[in-house]
Amino acid sequence: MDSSIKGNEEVAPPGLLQLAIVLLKVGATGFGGAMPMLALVHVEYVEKRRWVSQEEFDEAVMVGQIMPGPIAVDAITHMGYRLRGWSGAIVSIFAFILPSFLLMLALTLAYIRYGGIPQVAGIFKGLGAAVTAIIAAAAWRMGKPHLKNVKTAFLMAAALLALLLLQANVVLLVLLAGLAGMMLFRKPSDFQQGGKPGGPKASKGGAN
Amino acid sequence: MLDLFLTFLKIGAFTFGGGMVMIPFIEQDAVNTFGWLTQREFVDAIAMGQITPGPIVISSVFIGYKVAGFLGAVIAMGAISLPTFFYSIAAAHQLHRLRNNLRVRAFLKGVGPAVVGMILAAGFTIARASLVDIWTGVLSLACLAVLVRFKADASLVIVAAGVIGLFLG
Repeated sequence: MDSSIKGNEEVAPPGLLQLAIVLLKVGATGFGGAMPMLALVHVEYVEKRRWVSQEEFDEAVMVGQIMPGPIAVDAITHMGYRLRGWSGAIVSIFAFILPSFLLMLALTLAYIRYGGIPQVAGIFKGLGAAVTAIIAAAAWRMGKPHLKNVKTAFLMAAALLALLLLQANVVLLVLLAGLAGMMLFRKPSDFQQGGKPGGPKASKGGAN
Repeated sequence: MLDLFLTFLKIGAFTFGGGMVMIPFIEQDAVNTFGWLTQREFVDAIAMGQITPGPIVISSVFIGYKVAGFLGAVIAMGAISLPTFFYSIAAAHQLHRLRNNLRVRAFLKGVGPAVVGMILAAGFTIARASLVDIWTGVLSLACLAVLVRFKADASLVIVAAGVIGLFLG
Protein backbone atom coordinates (compact mmCIF):
# COMPACT_ATOMS: atom_id res chain seq x y z
CA MET A 1 0.00 0.00 0.00
CA ASP A 2 2.55 2.57 1.04
CA SER A 3 4.73 1.75 -1.92
CA SER A 4 2.14 3.10 -4.35
CA ILE A 5 3.76 6.52 -4.27
CA LYS A 6 7.37 6.96 -5.13
CA GLY A 7 9.81 9.76 -4.57
CA ASN A 8 9.49 12.68 -2.22
CA GLU A 9 5.81 13.18 -2.69
CA GLU A 10 3.82 12.79 0.46
CA VAL A 11 0.56 10.92 0.74
CA ALA A 12 -2.62 12.68 1.81
CA PRO A 13 -2.71 13.82 5.45
CA PRO A 14 -3.92 11.14 7.85
CA GLY A 15 -7.39 11.03 9.33
CA LEU A 16 -7.62 12.00 12.97
CA LEU A 17 -8.55 8.48 13.98
CA GLN A 18 -5.56 7.07 12.15
CA LEU A 19 -3.31 9.63 13.81
CA ALA A 20 -4.75 8.73 17.20
CA ILE A 21 -4.23 5.00 16.67
CA VAL A 22 -0.60 5.42 15.63
CA LEU A 23 0.17 7.68 18.60
CA LEU A 24 -1.64 5.46 21.10
CA LYS A 25 0.66 2.71 19.92
CA VAL A 26 3.79 4.84 20.19
CA GLY A 27 2.66 6.14 23.57
CA ALA A 28 2.15 2.62 24.87
CA THR A 29 5.44 1.21 23.57
CA GLY A 30 7.86 4.13 23.69
CA PHE A 31 10.37 3.44 26.44
CA GLY A 32 13.67 5.04 27.28
CA GLY A 33 13.31 8.77 26.72
CA ALA A 34 12.70 11.21 23.90
CA MET A 35 15.04 9.97 21.21
CA PRO A 36 14.00 6.30 21.25
CA MET A 37 10.36 7.44 21.19
CA LEU A 38 11.02 9.74 18.27
CA ALA A 39 12.68 6.88 16.46
CA LEU A 40 9.36 4.99 16.69
CA VAL A 41 7.52 8.07 15.42
CA HIS A 42 10.01 8.30 12.58
CA VAL A 43 9.20 4.74 11.52
CA GLU A 44 5.46 5.47 11.50
CA TYR A 45 5.37 9.01 10.11
CA VAL A 46 8.27 9.04 7.69
CA GLU A 47 9.14 5.49 6.71
CA LYS A 48 5.87 3.57 6.75
CA ARG A 49 3.24 6.20 6.01
CA ARG A 50 5.08 9.20 4.54
CA TRP A 51 2.91 11.68 6.37
CA VAL A 52 5.89 13.97 6.77
CA SER A 53 9.19 14.31 4.95
CA GLN A 54 12.55 13.76 6.59
CA GLU A 55 13.11 17.50 6.55
CA GLU A 56 9.81 18.23 8.29
CA PHE A 57 10.59 15.55 10.82
CA ASP A 58 14.00 17.04 11.61
CA GLU A 59 12.35 20.41 11.94
CA ALA A 60 9.83 19.02 14.44
CA VAL A 61 12.64 17.52 16.51
CA MET A 62 14.31 20.90 16.52
CA VAL A 63 11.09 22.47 17.74
CA GLY A 64 11.19 19.92 20.56
CA GLN A 65 14.72 20.93 21.44
CA ILE A 66 14.14 24.68 21.32
CA MET A 67 10.77 24.84 23.03
CA PRO A 68 10.26 24.05 26.71
CA GLY A 69 8.60 20.78 27.58
CA PRO A 70 9.35 17.15 26.80
CA ILE A 71 11.07 16.93 23.41
CA ALA A 72 8.94 14.10 22.06
CA VAL A 73 5.65 15.72 23.11
CA ASP A 74 6.68 19.02 21.50
CA ALA A 75 7.69 17.33 18.26
CA ILE A 76 4.58 15.15 18.04
CA THR A 77 2.19 18.03 18.78
CA HIS A 78 3.98 20.20 16.26
CA MET A 79 3.67 17.56 13.53
CA GLY A 80 0.03 17.00 14.47
CA TYR A 81 -0.64 20.69 13.96
CA ARG A 82 1.11 20.75 10.62
CA LEU A 83 -0.77 17.68 9.45
CA ARG A 84 -4.28 18.49 10.60
CA GLY A 85 -4.34 21.90 12.27
CA TRP A 86 -5.64 22.43 15.78
CA SER A 87 -7.60 19.19 15.89
CA GLY A 88 -4.51 17.31 14.75
CA ALA A 89 -2.46 18.86 17.54
CA ILE A 90 -5.07 18.11 20.20
CA VAL A 91 -5.58 14.52 19.06
CA SER A 92 -1.81 14.00 18.91
CA ILE A 93 -0.99 15.20 22.40
CA PHE A 94 -3.92 13.34 23.96
CA ALA A 95 -3.33 10.05 22.17
CA PHE A 96 0.38 10.12 22.92
CA ILE A 97 0.00 10.82 26.63
CA LEU A 98 -3.09 8.69 27.36
CA PRO A 99 -1.44 5.22 27.59
CA SER A 100 1.29 6.34 29.99
CA PHE A 101 -1.22 8.42 31.96
CA LEU A 102 -3.39 5.37 32.59
CA LEU A 103 -0.42 3.16 33.42
CA MET A 104 0.98 5.76 35.78
CA LEU A 105 -2.40 6.12 37.46
CA ALA A 106 -2.58 2.36 37.98
CA LEU A 107 0.96 2.31 39.41
CA THR A 108 0.11 5.22 41.70
CA LEU A 109 -2.92 3.40 43.10
CA ALA A 110 -0.86 0.24 43.59
CA TYR A 111 1.91 2.22 45.27
CA ILE A 112 -0.46 3.90 47.68
CA ARG A 113 -2.05 0.58 48.58
CA TYR A 114 1.00 -1.71 48.65
CA GLY A 115 3.93 0.68 49.09
CA GLY A 116 4.37 -0.25 52.74
CA ILE A 117 4.94 -3.96 52.15
CA PRO A 118 8.63 -4.83 52.77
CA GLN A 119 9.13 -6.57 49.41
CA VAL A 120 7.68 -3.57 47.59
CA ALA A 121 9.87 -1.23 49.62
CA GLY A 122 12.83 -3.38 48.57
CA ILE A 123 11.87 -3.09 44.92
CA PHE A 124 11.69 0.67 45.24
CA LYS A 125 15.09 0.82 46.95
CA GLY A 126 16.47 -0.90 43.86
CA LEU A 127 14.55 1.41 41.56
CA GLY A 128 15.82 4.46 43.45
CA ALA A 129 19.41 3.34 42.93
CA ALA A 130 18.70 3.00 39.20
CA VAL A 131 16.98 6.40 39.04
CA THR A 132 20.03 8.04 40.57
CA ALA A 133 22.19 6.39 37.93
CA ILE A 134 19.79 7.36 35.12
CA ILE A 135 19.86 10.99 36.18
CA ALA A 136 23.65 10.96 36.45
CA ALA A 137 23.92 9.33 33.03
CA ALA A 138 21.54 11.87 31.50
CA ALA A 139 23.52 14.73 33.02
CA TRP A 140 26.70 13.20 31.65
CA ARG A 141 25.25 12.77 28.17
CA MET A 142 23.70 16.23 28.09
CA GLY A 143 26.65 17.92 29.79
CA LYS A 144 29.60 16.47 27.88
CA PRO A 145 29.35 18.89 24.93
CA HIS A 146 29.21 21.86 27.30
CA LEU A 147 32.46 20.87 29.03
CA LYS A 148 34.46 21.64 25.90
CA ASN A 149 33.83 25.36 26.20
CA VAL A 150 34.92 27.45 29.20
CA LYS A 151 31.83 29.65 29.13
CA THR A 152 29.30 26.84 29.00
CA ALA A 153 31.24 24.81 31.56
CA PHE A 154 31.15 27.83 33.86
CA LEU A 155 27.38 28.25 33.42
CA MET A 156 26.87 24.58 34.21
CA ALA A 157 28.96 24.75 37.39
CA ALA A 158 27.34 28.02 38.46
CA ALA A 159 23.82 26.61 38.10
CA LEU A 160 24.81 23.44 39.94
CA LEU A 161 26.21 25.36 42.90
CA ALA A 162 23.43 27.94 42.96
CA LEU A 163 20.82 25.21 43.24
CA LEU A 164 22.74 22.87 45.51
CA LEU A 165 24.13 25.39 47.98
CA LEU A 166 21.82 28.37 47.74
CA GLN A 167 18.56 26.63 46.78
CA ALA A 168 18.13 29.34 44.17
CA ASN A 169 14.78 29.54 42.43
CA VAL A 170 14.81 27.30 39.33
CA VAL A 171 12.82 29.64 37.09
CA LEU A 172 15.08 32.53 38.02
CA LEU A 173 18.12 30.37 37.28
CA VAL A 174 16.85 29.51 33.81
CA LEU A 175 16.18 33.16 33.00
CA LEU A 176 19.54 34.31 34.40
CA ALA A 177 21.35 31.63 32.42
CA GLY A 178 19.55 32.75 29.28
CA LEU A 179 20.53 36.37 29.88
CA ALA A 180 24.10 35.31 30.59
CA GLY A 181 24.02 33.42 27.29
CA MET A 182 22.88 36.56 25.48
CA MET A 183 25.82 38.45 26.93
CA LEU A 184 28.43 35.73 26.47
CA PHE A 185 27.54 34.56 22.99
CA ARG A 186 27.34 37.51 20.63
CA LYS A 187 29.44 36.48 17.67
CA PRO A 188 28.17 34.09 15.00
CA SER A 189 31.35 32.09 15.60
CA ASP A 190 30.02 31.21 19.06
CA PHE A 191 27.49 28.95 17.40
CA GLN A 192 29.70 27.18 14.90
CA GLN A 193 30.80 24.25 16.96
CA GLY A 194 27.31 22.90 17.64
CA GLY A 195 26.42 23.19 13.98
CA LYS A 196 22.89 22.76 12.84
CA PRO A 197 20.78 21.10 15.51
CA GLY A 198 19.96 18.08 13.45
CA GLY A 199 17.18 15.65 14.18
CA PRO A 200 17.74 12.17 15.41
CA LYS A 201 18.23 9.78 12.61
CA ALA A 202 16.39 6.59 13.31
CA SER A 203 19.71 4.90 13.95
CA LYS A 204 20.33 7.13 16.95
CA GLY A 205 17.35 5.61 18.68
CA GLY A 206 18.97 2.62 20.29
CA ALA A 207 21.88 4.62 21.57
CA ASN A 208 20.04 6.36 24.36
CA MET B 1 -5.85 22.63 43.71
CA LEU B 2 -5.11 26.04 42.23
CA ASP B 3 -1.57 25.76 43.59
CA LEU B 4 -1.27 22.42 41.86
CA PHE B 5 -2.46 23.84 38.55
CA LEU B 6 -0.26 26.95 38.68
CA THR B 7 2.82 25.04 39.82
CA PHE B 8 2.62 22.52 37.01
CA LEU B 9 1.77 25.23 34.49
CA LYS B 10 4.93 27.05 35.52
CA ILE B 11 7.02 23.90 35.32
CA GLY B 12 5.67 23.20 31.83
CA ALA B 13 6.46 26.73 30.76
CA PHE B 14 10.12 26.77 31.82
CA THR B 15 11.54 23.29 31.35
CA PHE B 16 13.85 24.12 28.46
CA GLY B 17 15.77 21.08 27.33
CA GLY B 18 13.42 18.14 27.71
CA GLY B 19 11.83 15.97 30.35
CA MET B 20 14.83 15.45 32.64
CA VAL B 21 14.92 19.18 33.34
CA MET B 22 11.56 18.81 35.00
CA ILE B 23 13.13 16.91 37.89
CA PRO B 24 14.83 19.85 39.68
CA PHE B 25 11.74 21.98 39.03
CA ILE B 26 9.29 19.52 40.53
CA GLU B 27 11.61 18.80 43.41
CA GLN B 28 11.85 22.46 44.37
CA ASP B 29 8.12 23.12 44.27
CA ALA B 30 6.39 19.86 45.11
CA VAL B 31 8.86 18.57 47.70
CA ASN B 32 10.52 21.64 49.21
CA THR B 33 7.97 24.44 48.90
CA PHE B 34 4.60 22.72 49.17
CA GLY B 35 5.57 19.45 50.83
CA TRP B 36 3.13 17.49 48.67
CA LEU B 37 5.40 14.47 48.85
CA THR B 38 8.53 13.30 50.62
CA GLN B 39 11.91 13.04 48.95
CA ARG B 40 11.52 9.26 49.02
CA GLU B 41 8.11 9.40 47.33
CA PHE B 42 9.56 11.80 44.79
CA VAL B 43 12.27 9.30 43.86
CA ASP B 44 9.65 6.55 43.69
CA ALA B 45 7.46 8.72 41.44
CA ILE B 46 10.33 9.25 39.02
CA ALA B 47 11.06 5.53 39.13
CA MET B 48 7.45 4.77 38.18
CA GLY B 49 7.67 7.36 35.42
CA GLN B 50 10.66 5.46 34.07
CA ILE B 51 8.94 2.09 34.19
CA THR B 52 5.98 3.34 32.18
CA PRO B 53 6.40 4.14 28.50
CA GLY B 54 6.04 7.73 27.36
CA PRO B 55 7.66 10.92 28.63
CA ILE B 56 9.10 11.24 32.15
CA VAL B 57 6.70 14.11 32.90
CA ILE B 58 4.14 11.41 33.49
CA SER B 59 5.49 11.30 37.06
CA SER B 60 3.32 14.39 37.59
CA VAL B 61 0.32 12.07 37.68
CA PHE B 62 1.54 10.59 40.95
CA ILE B 63 1.97 14.00 42.55
CA GLY B 64 -1.39 15.24 41.31
CA TYR B 65 -3.09 12.12 42.61
CA LYS B 66 -1.51 12.49 46.03
CA VAL B 67 -2.70 16.08 46.28
CA ALA B 68 -6.23 15.73 44.97
CA GLY B 69 -7.07 12.24 43.75
CA PHE B 70 -8.03 11.49 40.17
CA LEU B 71 -8.93 15.09 39.41
CA GLY B 72 -5.55 16.17 40.77
CA ALA B 73 -3.81 13.72 38.45
CA VAL B 74 -5.68 15.16 35.47
CA ILE B 75 -4.97 18.73 36.54
CA ALA B 76 -1.24 18.12 37.06
CA MET B 77 -0.83 16.36 33.72
CA GLY B 78 -3.00 18.90 31.91
CA ALA B 79 -1.26 21.91 33.42
CA ILE B 80 2.24 20.67 32.65
CA SER B 81 1.25 19.81 29.07
CA LEU B 82 -0.61 23.00 28.28
CA PRO B 83 2.46 25.22 27.68
CA THR B 84 4.06 22.44 25.63
CA PHE B 85 0.93 22.34 23.47
CA PHE B 86 0.88 26.05 22.73
CA TYR B 87 4.64 26.34 22.27
CA SER B 88 4.57 23.59 19.67
CA ILE B 89 1.85 25.32 17.71
CA ALA B 90 3.43 28.73 18.01
CA ALA B 91 6.61 27.18 16.68
CA ALA B 92 4.83 26.26 13.46
CA HIS B 93 4.52 29.95 12.68
CA GLN B 94 7.75 31.30 14.12
CA LEU B 95 10.21 28.50 13.56
CA HIS B 96 12.35 30.12 10.90
CA ARG B 97 12.53 33.39 12.73
CA LEU B 98 13.44 31.58 15.94
CA ARG B 99 16.06 29.40 14.35
CA ASN B 100 17.86 32.29 12.72
CA ASN B 101 17.56 34.71 15.60
CA LEU B 102 21.00 34.97 17.17
CA ARG B 103 19.64 36.33 20.45
CA VAL B 104 17.27 33.39 20.82
CA ARG B 105 20.11 31.02 20.09
CA ALA B 106 22.37 32.83 22.58
CA PHE B 107 19.63 32.58 25.20
CA LEU B 108 19.24 28.86 24.62
CA LYS B 109 22.99 28.35 24.55
CA GLY B 110 23.13 29.86 28.02
CA VAL B 111 20.19 27.83 29.29
CA GLY B 112 21.49 24.51 27.93
CA PRO B 113 24.47 24.07 30.27
CA ALA B 114 22.60 25.61 33.20
CA VAL B 115 19.83 23.03 33.11
CA VAL B 116 22.44 20.27 33.12
CA GLY B 117 23.89 21.81 36.29
CA MET B 118 20.40 21.86 37.75
CA ILE B 119 19.80 18.21 36.85
CA LEU B 120 23.09 17.37 38.55
CA ALA B 121 22.04 19.27 41.66
CA ALA B 122 18.77 17.33 41.74
CA GLY B 123 20.82 14.18 41.22
CA PHE B 124 22.72 14.89 44.43
CA THR B 125 19.62 15.24 46.58
CA ILE B 126 18.07 12.21 44.94
CA ALA B 127 21.24 10.22 45.60
CA ARG B 128 21.06 11.22 49.24
CA ALA B 129 17.48 9.98 49.47
CA SER B 130 17.94 6.75 47.55
CA LEU B 131 21.48 5.53 48.27
CA VAL B 132 20.78 4.59 51.85
CA ASP B 133 23.15 1.68 52.33
CA ILE B 134 26.04 -0.12 50.69
CA TRP B 135 24.05 -2.27 48.30
CA THR B 136 22.03 0.61 46.88
CA GLY B 137 25.28 2.52 46.36
CA VAL B 138 26.95 -0.39 44.60
CA LEU B 139 23.83 -1.09 42.53
CA SER B 140 23.64 2.55 41.48
CA LEU B 141 27.27 2.58 40.36
CA ALA B 142 26.70 -0.66 38.44
CA CYS B 143 23.64 0.88 36.73
CA LEU B 144 25.63 3.98 35.85
CA ALA B 145 28.41 1.89 34.35
CA VAL B 146 25.96 -0.12 32.25
CA LEU B 147 24.16 3.03 31.10
CA VAL B 148 27.21 5.06 30.15
CA ARG B 149 29.61 2.34 29.05
CA PHE B 150 27.22 0.06 27.20
CA LYS B 151 24.48 2.60 26.46
CA ALA B 152 21.93 0.22 27.90
CA ASP B 153 18.26 1.11 27.66
CA ALA B 154 17.15 2.98 30.80
CA SER B 155 13.88 1.04 31.07
CA LEU B 156 15.73 -2.29 31.09
CA VAL B 157 18.20 -1.08 33.69
CA ILE B 158 15.42 0.07 35.97
CA VAL B 159 13.48 -3.17 35.72
CA ALA B 160 16.64 -5.16 36.48
CA ALA B 161 17.34 -2.93 39.49
CA GLY B 162 13.80 -3.49 40.75
CA VAL B 163 14.23 -7.27 40.56
CA ILE B 164 17.56 -7.03 42.41
CA GLY B 165 15.88 -4.84 45.01
CA LEU B 166 13.15 -7.42 45.55
CA PHE B 167 15.76 -9.96 46.62
CA LEU B 168 18.20 -7.74 48.47
CA GLY B 169 15.80 -5.30 50.10
